[in-house]
Amino acid sequence: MKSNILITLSLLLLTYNVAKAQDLLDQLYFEEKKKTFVTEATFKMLRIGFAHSVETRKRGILEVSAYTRYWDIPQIDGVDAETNNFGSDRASARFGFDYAFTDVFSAGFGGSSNGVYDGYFKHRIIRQKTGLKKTPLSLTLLTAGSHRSKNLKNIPVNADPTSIYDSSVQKTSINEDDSFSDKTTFTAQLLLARKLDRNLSFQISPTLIYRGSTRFDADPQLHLALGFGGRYKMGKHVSIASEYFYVPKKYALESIETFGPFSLGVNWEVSKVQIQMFLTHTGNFSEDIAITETPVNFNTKDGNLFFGWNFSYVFHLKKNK
Amino acid sequence: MKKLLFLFFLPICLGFTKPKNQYLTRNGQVTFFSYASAENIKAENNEVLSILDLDEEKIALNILMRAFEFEKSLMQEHFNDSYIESDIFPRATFEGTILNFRPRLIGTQTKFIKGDFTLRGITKPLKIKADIDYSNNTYTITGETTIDIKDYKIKVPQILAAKIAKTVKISFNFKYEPYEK
Repeated sequence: MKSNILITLSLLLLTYNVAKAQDLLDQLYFEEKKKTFVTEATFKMLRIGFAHSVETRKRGILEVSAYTRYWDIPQIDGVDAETNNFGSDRASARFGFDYAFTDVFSAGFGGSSNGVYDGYFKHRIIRQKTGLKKTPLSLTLLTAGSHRSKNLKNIPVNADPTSIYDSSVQKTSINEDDSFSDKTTFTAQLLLARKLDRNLSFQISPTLIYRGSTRFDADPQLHLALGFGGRYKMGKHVSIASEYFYVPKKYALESIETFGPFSLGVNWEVSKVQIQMFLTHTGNFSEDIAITETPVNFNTKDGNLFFGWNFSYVFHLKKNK
Repeated sequence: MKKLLFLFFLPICLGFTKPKNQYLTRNGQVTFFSYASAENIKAENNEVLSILDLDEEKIALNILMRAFEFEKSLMQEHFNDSYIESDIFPRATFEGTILNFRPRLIGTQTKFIKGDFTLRGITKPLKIKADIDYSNNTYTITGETTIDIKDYKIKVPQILAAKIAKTVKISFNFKYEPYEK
């Protein structure tokens, strides 16, 4: 009995001495308060390629952007078109501004070379968090609108399908005199994303597009699409990103054959500069045209392969404190 | 046997009754500056944990990297994501001995603190000159030091290398209160 007490006591003494011997850093470690952290950089840029990512900028940041696409004139009836430029017979561009009013609400506006003006509001509803209060994913609501100041062209049979992007091709649109609302399109997207680990992020974007009017009666006014996006961080400043939109046949245009847009490319960011370089098969910038009106498939044929180049620069208009 | 028992109890009782000469702060302030030709980088952390042990004449710091606040929010994102990688290395720590320390000396004494600073998992010896002030049973320790970012393998892209300073000036201000568990 007494030996039991002795053993217990010596054990007590031992644990006490161990506890006393813990160093100061361990002591501080136990003083740490558990906190909640918002997961940053699910996607580092506002766009994955041509479509929006779940990200917005922090309060007071103005992002100025230039998005450009370059491509070749395709073969028409098996005949090579006269082409002088390597991969850049044709080009389109969008210049835009994105401003973050708060950390969770931002808006943007842009104008494209094909006469399309677009604007959007982006609202971060749920943010992925780690630590004390965990949230598994981010949810951002995107509401966007676009207006075609010039009419997009119809595609003549057997002609260059990418000519619809080119304002130098003669206008053949049937909607020349349409009203403002007829030429306006609305887009709503739910952007759901999760940063799986420090390198890998995924996004799913259910998309609803409503157009004021259609070029042909057969075409639906309402389109539904499902977008998929991903990012993989390769290095401290470099990541690869890809995206694809699935447009069900029922909700796709009937007057022309369209393909779900895809992009694959590299993101590079340092300091206030962000550059995205990617391959895609759409030369348009507003959601509605890129998602529902991409007339060529993704392959390396002339006229199908578009080189995308997004450049943006950030200004901190409001500083913390 | 009873004597033996008593011998066991004695150090425990003594240990429990004797007050631990420790002082703690939960709101220590650490600021860093980097003067650069392109623009100055400045960040502040007001949640630094620090403990001062009078018996051992030691001081320890626990700096949560994500608690650094920058004037420019994108800079903060880059700091955590691309430079410090605070998801892998959430905290920087320092543990050091105050040389020639005279505890309980009312007023200010300027001493060197010699210890190890760990940042991004890399530990380097660091000697810091600090002012230690004791009054009204609180200690205040202030001072500053400079670290070389290369020592801690913080890589700056070539394109920015010329514009960003190779050293970072760190200043600190801790107000300690008696530590009760």
